[in-house]
Amino acid sequence: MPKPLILIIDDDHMSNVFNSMIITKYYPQVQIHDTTGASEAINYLKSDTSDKPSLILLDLNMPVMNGWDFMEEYEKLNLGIEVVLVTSSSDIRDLSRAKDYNDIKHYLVKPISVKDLKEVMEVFYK
Amino acid sequence: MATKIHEIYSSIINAGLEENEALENKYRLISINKFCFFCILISSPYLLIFLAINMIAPYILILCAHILFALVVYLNHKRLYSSGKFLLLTTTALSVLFISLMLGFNSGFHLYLYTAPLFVFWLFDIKEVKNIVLAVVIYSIVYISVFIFKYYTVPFYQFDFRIIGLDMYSLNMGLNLVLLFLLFYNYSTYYKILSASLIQKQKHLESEINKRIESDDNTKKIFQELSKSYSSLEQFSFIVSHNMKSPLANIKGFLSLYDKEGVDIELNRKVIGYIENSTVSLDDTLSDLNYILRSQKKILDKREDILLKDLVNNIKISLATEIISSGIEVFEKYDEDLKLNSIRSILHSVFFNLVQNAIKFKRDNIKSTIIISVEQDSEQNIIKITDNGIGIDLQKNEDRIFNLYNRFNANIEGKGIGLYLVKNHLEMLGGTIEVASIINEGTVFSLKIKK
Repeated sequence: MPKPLILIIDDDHMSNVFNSMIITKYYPQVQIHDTTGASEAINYLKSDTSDKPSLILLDLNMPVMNGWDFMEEYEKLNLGIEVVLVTSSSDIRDLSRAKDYNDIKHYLVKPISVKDLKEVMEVFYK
Repeated sequence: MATKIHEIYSSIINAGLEENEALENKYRLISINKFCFFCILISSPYLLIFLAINMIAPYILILCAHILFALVVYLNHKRLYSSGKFLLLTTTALSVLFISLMLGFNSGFHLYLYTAPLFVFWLFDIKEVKNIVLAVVIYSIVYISVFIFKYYTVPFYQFDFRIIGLDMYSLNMGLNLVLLFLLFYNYSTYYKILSASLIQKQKHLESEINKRIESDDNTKKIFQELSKSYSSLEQFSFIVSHNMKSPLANIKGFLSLYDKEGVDIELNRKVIGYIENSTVSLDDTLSDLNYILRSQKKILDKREDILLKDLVNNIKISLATEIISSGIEVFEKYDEDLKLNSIRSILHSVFFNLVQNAIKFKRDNIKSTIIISVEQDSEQNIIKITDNGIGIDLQKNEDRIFNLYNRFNANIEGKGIGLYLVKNHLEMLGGTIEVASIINEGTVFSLKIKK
């Protein structure tokens, strides 16, 4: 069985570094692919050669194509991959929009804490 | 003493007066009260005379009339206006009847007392049709009674109109009727004038209302402007806090990964490096904030006449390195003597940002140009900065193109501050900015600045 893959989308490079670090520290079996642009992530998901991730961590506040724009494009692909929003606490007020998307099941506040991470991962890997 | 009498007098004539009553009704009420008061005052000496010559019947009649007149004022005082009016009507009518009977039918001069029906129109508004009809009926009864009293000597079936004859009495009666007709005619004319003045009043009111609505519109405008600047302020603070939280969250996160036991030296070295990076980005955000806030202060600089040519030259000098290395060419299409009355530092910042953007977003495989042109109308200068660069997808980004920290091209470095500042600065000057763009053809920014 191949390693489970997580796709991380965040324009802030440092955030991606941290998220990868904390995930691999507690779930070393997980493979991570990170991108700093939403359109890049869409291209990745579209391409046939790349492995399909089993989880997407998505930042909302991004330039050019923000998290919601990504969700619009993503829904067209009809992949059914579960999406977890990773947001700064100041974005929480527009989280109500998340209800419109079936694939968004969780959200995490930056920085991801070990406790929250375990909660999310348990759901996906039990 | 005199003031005391005046007090009593004014309390009588103002009996039942209400502050918010229409002016016309106020006059009507005061007239009625005055009339009653003077009737009592004028006929008071007769009371004494009749008493002195021992004529009891007229004495009692006058006393009754006094009481009735006083009752009218009392009813008005109790705000029973219509009862007061009717009492006055009947009292006057009956008084007229009795006086005419007492004086006999010789000359008929006293018939001028019958002008009393004038009260009908004096007491009531013409709209109170029922009351007027009732009053006219009362006066008709009085007239018919007088008529019967004069001619009752002849039995009804023997009545002949020739009996009436052309004596002084019937002549006066005829004159009297003409007078009444004239009065009525006069009143109806008065009513027409009144309604005309009412229409005028209504028009005045309408224009007043329109004025109010207009001033309401102004208030709305101010409110809209205020809420606009409030929401831009809110957006500003939201964005700044977001951009400060992000590196802070990273620092916090990396600290949680730091191995406090100091066993994993390799990890700790990496973590410290990342914390350092995040600290730098936090510092950058703070400097941006500081820069934006400082640039808001430029509004305090003095206004002056600025030669546009000079301004553009200064921009070209400031951006000389970029202009030369990018090979972009700047064309100026405006009058060399064109002056703008404005704040130099703000205009400099606006032009600097727009020209810098045009250089930054140029297309690689063509000859890049920037055209600065000016159109004028009576109120404003419209400055257009046109480039033939990569363009902006306005369909997607129109709403947020001037927002803070919004970027539209992932490949080209930028912070998303420039256009925010441009719009902000122009608004400080009372100007506006519009953008038109076609992807892979170019972008036009139109700055409208009041003369």
